[in-house]
Amino acid sequence: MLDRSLFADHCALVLEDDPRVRDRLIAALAQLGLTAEPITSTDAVQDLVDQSPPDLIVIGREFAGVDSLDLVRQVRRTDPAHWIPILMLGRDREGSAEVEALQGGCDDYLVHGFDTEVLFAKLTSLMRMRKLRKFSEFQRAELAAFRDRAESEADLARFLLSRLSRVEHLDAVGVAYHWLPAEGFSGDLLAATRSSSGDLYGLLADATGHGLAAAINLIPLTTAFYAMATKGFNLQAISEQLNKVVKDYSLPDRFVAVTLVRFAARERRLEVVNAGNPAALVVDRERRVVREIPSGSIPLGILDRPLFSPKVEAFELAGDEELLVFSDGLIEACNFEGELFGRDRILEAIAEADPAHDGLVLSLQTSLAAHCIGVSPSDDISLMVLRAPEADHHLVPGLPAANEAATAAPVAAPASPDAAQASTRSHPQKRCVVEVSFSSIELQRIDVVPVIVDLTRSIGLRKALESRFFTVLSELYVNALDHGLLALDSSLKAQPDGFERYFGLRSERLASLDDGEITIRLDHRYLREGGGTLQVEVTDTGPGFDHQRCIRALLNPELGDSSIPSGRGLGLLLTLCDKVKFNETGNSVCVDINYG
Amino acid sequence: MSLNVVSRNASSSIELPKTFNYSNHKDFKSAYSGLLEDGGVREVEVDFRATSYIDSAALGMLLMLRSCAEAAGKTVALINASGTVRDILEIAHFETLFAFR
Repeated sequence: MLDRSLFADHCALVLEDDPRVRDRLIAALAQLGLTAEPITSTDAVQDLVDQSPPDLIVIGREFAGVDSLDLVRQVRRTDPAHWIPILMLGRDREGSAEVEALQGGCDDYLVHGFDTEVLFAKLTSLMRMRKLRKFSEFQRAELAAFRDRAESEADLARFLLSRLSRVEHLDAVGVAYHWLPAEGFSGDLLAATRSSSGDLYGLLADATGHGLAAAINLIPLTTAFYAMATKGFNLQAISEQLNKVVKDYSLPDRFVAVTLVRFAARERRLEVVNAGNPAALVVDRERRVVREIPSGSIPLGILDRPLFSPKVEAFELAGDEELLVFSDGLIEACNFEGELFGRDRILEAIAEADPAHDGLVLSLQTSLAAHCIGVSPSDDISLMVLRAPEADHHLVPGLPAANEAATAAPVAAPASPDAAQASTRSHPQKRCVVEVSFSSIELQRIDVVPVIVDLTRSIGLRKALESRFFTVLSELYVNALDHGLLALDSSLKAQPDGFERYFGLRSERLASLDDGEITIRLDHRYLREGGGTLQVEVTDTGPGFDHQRCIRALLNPELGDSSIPSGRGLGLLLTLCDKVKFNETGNSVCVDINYG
Repeated sequence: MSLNVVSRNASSSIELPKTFNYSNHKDFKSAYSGLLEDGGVREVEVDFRATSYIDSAALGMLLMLRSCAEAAGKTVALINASGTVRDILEIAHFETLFAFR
């Protein structure tokens, strides 16, 4: 059986001196469907092979007065990617002649006077070899192209991840970290930033898989993290948004485990959302683990919003504790015997760490290196240590010394806009007034303060004023919501575990809040070149409180009136604002921030 | 390594190997695809009795199974998970997504 497809549309070169043999060959080749071209001089051979390489060469032992094996060697020197099968015809029946031909570079040998069937069989075998060679050459080229593409994708992933992780950002905010990717590029990501309110935000994300697939999940994640953290959104809002972007941009079997951290500098409060990472550890200066925050939510990118409800853990720090967060790669790092690094070694390294800020990271790094000696990690390893930022000193640059007259004797007058309007009439000014009211529906759903700060920024709040404004508005808003509408008692926070109870109660009451409204009114007046007053008035529909007594107690601590709340928030307002006015009932506060 | 599929009545279980990770991806997918196409199967059980290690790709495969099962109107249960495997499933809070037995 002849496989004619091996020969169809192919061409052969025939180099044979004897015209009878040559004609017989050409006729036989034509029978197979090969176009055969006779050559009579050696000069043309190399040109033909170079310019339009034949698919087969049949060559006599001697040709045109030269040793054909020289020609064969010449052909073989050409590009090995274009392999041409060569069949040699000889008169010599001795085995040594055949050995000589095969060793000289021919693929087969046939003695003159051959049987046509044998010729056909040998040619079929040669053409089959040629087909295989062609196929493997094609595959090799495919593979090379594929490898080039994979390499350029790896370059892209590396570039993206180096841009995403912004290590310089971590250094700038004073976060200690260790980051060791498994494959030259990582599915783990560390990020940290300070918000305009002065809080420190951190993110440790571990995406399924490595490389480009993991990097793609992390792009929208970091963008959203930086955008929201810098604006001071709460962790609930940030994790919901991060969950949404991961869900929107990834395949159903992809997800991202994250630990989100917020250190509220002023309140010395630590908030953590752990969605799918190993427990985050709070470590004190004596290097004891004083608290663990295990994974409290499903990782990001799996459930849609109503089902995805991240659990925010909040507690007050006693002193200068640090928070250690790490990816599962740390626990699972194996030594050469396949033994995991494990939790016990982590706790040991913590106990041995020195109290310096980078002590924890260094101790873990050393212990990990000793464990994994001679083994490269099979999963990305990342860890990060955050400590509470220095409180507030950067918050009030250029703040005039607290206005004694205004603060010492706050005017118990209704904070109505009348006074402001009166002054507008006598001194024409440029101003911008915004009033927004939030009902219980928005209060439950929206992180109001960053939204208002964002709005204020977009209508031209100066950057230098931003953190002061953020802090003031947060105080006013928290007072209106927590105390005015939710009737929470601050003194609860002073009790052991009171902090958690306070926040637990807060989310319960907020979730069931039916009535109630908070109105925020901003009145920005430009007084002169580069200067002005930002007036902020926050009113709630709650019963109000005895502000005069609070202020009296705050200004005269020697009276020892312990029945009133801590007054920290109020004290802060008095320091940061140039004027603080309550209405009679105490459910509306109006403050002035002068600048320039 | 191929995966054993054991069927009884309306539920069928896929028995996972000692280590369940991305290398089982093809086998796992073909095992559950077969079960999801089978009209007689109402629930797919994933049996971890022999499994002592899973990774995040394994969690991803379970999520894939969950979304395919949902589309086919069937449920998925994770059974006999213990030790580290159970810890990993719990850290990811998979009990909110799957029935655990």
